[in-house]
Amino acid sequence: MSAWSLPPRWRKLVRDVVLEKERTLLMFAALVVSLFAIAAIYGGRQILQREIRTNYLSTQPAMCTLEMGEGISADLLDRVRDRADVESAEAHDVIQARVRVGEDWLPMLVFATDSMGGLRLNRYFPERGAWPARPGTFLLERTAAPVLETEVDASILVKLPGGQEQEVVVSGLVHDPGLSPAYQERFGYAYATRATLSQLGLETGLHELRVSFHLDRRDRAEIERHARTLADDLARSGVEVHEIRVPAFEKHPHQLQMETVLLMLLLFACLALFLSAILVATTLSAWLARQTRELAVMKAVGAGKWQIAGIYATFVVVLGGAASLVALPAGAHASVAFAGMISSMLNFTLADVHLTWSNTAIVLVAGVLVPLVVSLFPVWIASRSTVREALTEWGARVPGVGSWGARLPRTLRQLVRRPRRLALSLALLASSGAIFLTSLNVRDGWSANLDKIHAVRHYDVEVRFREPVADSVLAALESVPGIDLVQTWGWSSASLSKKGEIDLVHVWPDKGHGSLALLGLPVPGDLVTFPLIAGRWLRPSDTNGLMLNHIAWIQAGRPEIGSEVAVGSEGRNLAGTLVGVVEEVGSPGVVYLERGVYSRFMANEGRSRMIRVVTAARTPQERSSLLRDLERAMSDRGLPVQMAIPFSELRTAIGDHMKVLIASLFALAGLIAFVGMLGLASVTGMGVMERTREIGILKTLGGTPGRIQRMVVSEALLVGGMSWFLGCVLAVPLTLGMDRLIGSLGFLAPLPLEIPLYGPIVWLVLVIGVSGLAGWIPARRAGNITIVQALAEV
Amino acid sequence: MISMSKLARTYRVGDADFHALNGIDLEIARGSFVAVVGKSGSGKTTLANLVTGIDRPSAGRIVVEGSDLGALDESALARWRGGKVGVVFQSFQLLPTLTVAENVMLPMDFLGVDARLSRERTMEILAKVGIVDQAAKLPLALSGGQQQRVAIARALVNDPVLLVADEPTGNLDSRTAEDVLDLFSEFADGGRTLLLVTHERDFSARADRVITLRDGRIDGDVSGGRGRNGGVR
Repeated sequence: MSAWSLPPRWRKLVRDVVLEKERTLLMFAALVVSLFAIAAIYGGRQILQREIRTNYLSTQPAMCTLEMGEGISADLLDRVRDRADVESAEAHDVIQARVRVGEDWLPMLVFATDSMGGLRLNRYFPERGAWPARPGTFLLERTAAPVLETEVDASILVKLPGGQEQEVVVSGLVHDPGLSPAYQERFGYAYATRATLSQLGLETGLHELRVSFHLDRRDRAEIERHARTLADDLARSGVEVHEIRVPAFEKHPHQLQMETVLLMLLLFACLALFLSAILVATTLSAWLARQTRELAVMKAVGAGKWQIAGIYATFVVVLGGAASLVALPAGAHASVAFAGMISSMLNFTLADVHLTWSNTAIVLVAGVLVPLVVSLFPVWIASRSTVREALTEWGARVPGVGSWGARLPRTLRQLVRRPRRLALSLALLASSGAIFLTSLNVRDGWSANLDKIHAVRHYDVEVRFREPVADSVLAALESVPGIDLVQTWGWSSASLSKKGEIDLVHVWPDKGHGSLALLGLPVPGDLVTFPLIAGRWLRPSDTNGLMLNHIAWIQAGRPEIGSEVAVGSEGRNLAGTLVGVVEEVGSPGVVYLERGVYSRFMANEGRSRMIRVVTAARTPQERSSLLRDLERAMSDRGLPVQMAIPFSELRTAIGDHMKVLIASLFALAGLIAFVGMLGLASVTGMGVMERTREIGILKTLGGTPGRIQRMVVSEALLVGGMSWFLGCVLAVPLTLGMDRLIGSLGFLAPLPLEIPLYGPIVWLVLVIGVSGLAGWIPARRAGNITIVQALAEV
Repeated sequence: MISMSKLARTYRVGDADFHALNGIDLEIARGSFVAVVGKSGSGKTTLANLVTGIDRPSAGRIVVEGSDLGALDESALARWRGGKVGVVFQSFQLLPTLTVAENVMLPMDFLGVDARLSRERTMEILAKVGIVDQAAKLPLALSGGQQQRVAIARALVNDPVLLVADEPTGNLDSRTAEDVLDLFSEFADGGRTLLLVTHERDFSARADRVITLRDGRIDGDVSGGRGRNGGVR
């Protein structure tokens, strides 16, 4: 009785699906892989967004930090805590030290407090070893230990400000989810009490007053208002406040980048689903074309167009639903793995990897709706054709091309017989090609952007000093063999504050993310050749002119050339005229003044806090060796080096920031290529199947199997070739758009347009191989069936 | 029952117009067995297509059982056809992936007939056309005559008031053709209207009325050998 239970139209559908199982499987596979990508990325995004916030907020990040002129006293702390709007206040400090790794010295931030156990703001958590640190020892952030090539209970060689090199034992590891990982920044992160620092010879007060407020409105503007009021009140009471730091509210330093990158990956996964939906629509279109007469018969016996459309729409819904159900569990597992990978790159711990119902709902809805909406077009076309049109459809006409169709070459004429199908096929294949090529182009654009960091900087190392050093002393470093040039620059941290205001910056406690620097640029000078975005380069005569890099320009609200820009640094303020904006990839915000103007403004003429050094090195090994010689020379002269950044480190650090993005993009490119190849195989195979009858006729006229195969394969190659060309053309605007998006995320400037030749070549090889094979296999089968069988085909 | 007024159908063939039907005026009374004959290209199939709503006229009006077919959209035509018209094609047009019984049940499925009733009617009608024992087979397993019986069963299963058969014996041997015509005669004896399109004049002896088409026009309209009166124009 069960055979009777399903109405005939559905039984027909089931049997048709069984008959078309290869093509159904192709459609299913394409949907499964693209839905898997969506499930993995959307799920990963859900976990990461929740966990990065949970991790970051678990540190109780201070809403603002006031950099004080002197060490914070207990009395001052009590006064601040007594204010009605203050929720918590603590004294911290961040010491910029240096640490020896192998033969080199890396910068290291030492986060100092009076006590580790009772921290209420910017907390960190014990991971391994001692907690709190044993007296006289450091704790290291867990990502810093491998960077410093050390471990718990080993010792590191450290240079504290003003001190000598000394061994310090690492008594434990902590996790600080408020910092970006040490391996990305190429920094060491250590934690110590003031007592330990004192024991190590650094008598220092704690200068950073970290505060959280009771807020009426929880946003950065409200925090800035409270912070400024507090700073002004303190200043009025005679306490020196150098700077106010307000990082983005409740946001990890890399949160925005992470969220936008995940959104972009999701966009690519959605494109893959869209491609799969086009594949379903194309396959269904061909399938319905083979069913033309059957559809007509159904209509002749009383089926309405909605009933016909309903059959095939239901098929798409079931196919999409089933693909979603298969993709969901695999995608859920992958999302946890993906989230784990990203979280380890961003140094936070996944405490909770559960996915909410919205993940399931999104994948199911996308899996059902996207193929359904795209397939409605061929389903609607098939369901609304009249019975007469359908019954007289013999496949011999050349619809829509009129008499000009007859003048086309035979191979092309065959293709335009079904212009809608050809359009769908080309849309599918060209889109896959374009997206595949775009992902490769973006990858190369990213790499070229990193190369640009080198191309516009013509020095080997940048050294910053804790305090200004006499230029004559610095110039003497040129006597070190192999050092060709030591150029002195002005350097100080800066803010975009007006005269009379305490400097307010948006920097995180690591002092790197969100920072702004004021640099005294030697003019003329050729150590940097940043491309101009607007205006002109600084001139020696620019006594009141300043130049911004694009990051600072965005921070300043994109001012017009010629407008006034207010800058504050170390309690001094100036209002300069903007003369130019340069693109400076791989740097925080920088305001440039002419070197002499800078010195006069900072009142440190004849002294400098930064040098940029050119060596005679030709190989990385030579460069490392020369930098060590330079380090020794600076050490011998007792120069107060704060940090020395070899250029290669900068490139690697920036590259590491987006390594996952590039790897994920490449994986998605592979997935898109896979869907595209499935589409190509499906479209080509169906085209041959539909022509079985025609092939029979050709055979009656003397066409040999070999000749028929050549004809079919040449048509398949022509479609492949056309789609390849369209894909290459389409990839250009798509690449431009993606370069703009990704470049804006990573560097606040578009990536350079890179169109590597290998992309189109790889795609062409794939297209030719798959279309040739996908044409040859069914053509061979069709060429071998008997004429009687072929002519019996509808 | 069927009323045609100045009915015309023109097709565009290449750069020229082809007038398949040209100004047909015709009345066919309910319950008559009408044979439409003519040579190939005379307009017979076009006439059958217009009567069943499979095609639409270029000009003129056609009313079948009170329904002006020109006023119905495709969906309404399909519903109308499902309820009132049975169509039999020369090449059977059975759905190859459905069994004999399922092919017959299909029109009832689209009309929303209850499944149990649908099964009962299917077995009844298959018994009537003499192939109930083939119900579970696929069409390709049957002979041409058997397939045409299935097609007739499918056309009759909704108990239509009008049966239109276009060259229903064209693919059958003479013995089988006679059997099929016997089935049509039975249908017509039940008081329903039968429009049989054929190029074989021999069958006109079974009809009440024989209409001859030539170049898209009525070239003759005479009583057939069955001896019943048609509703002559």
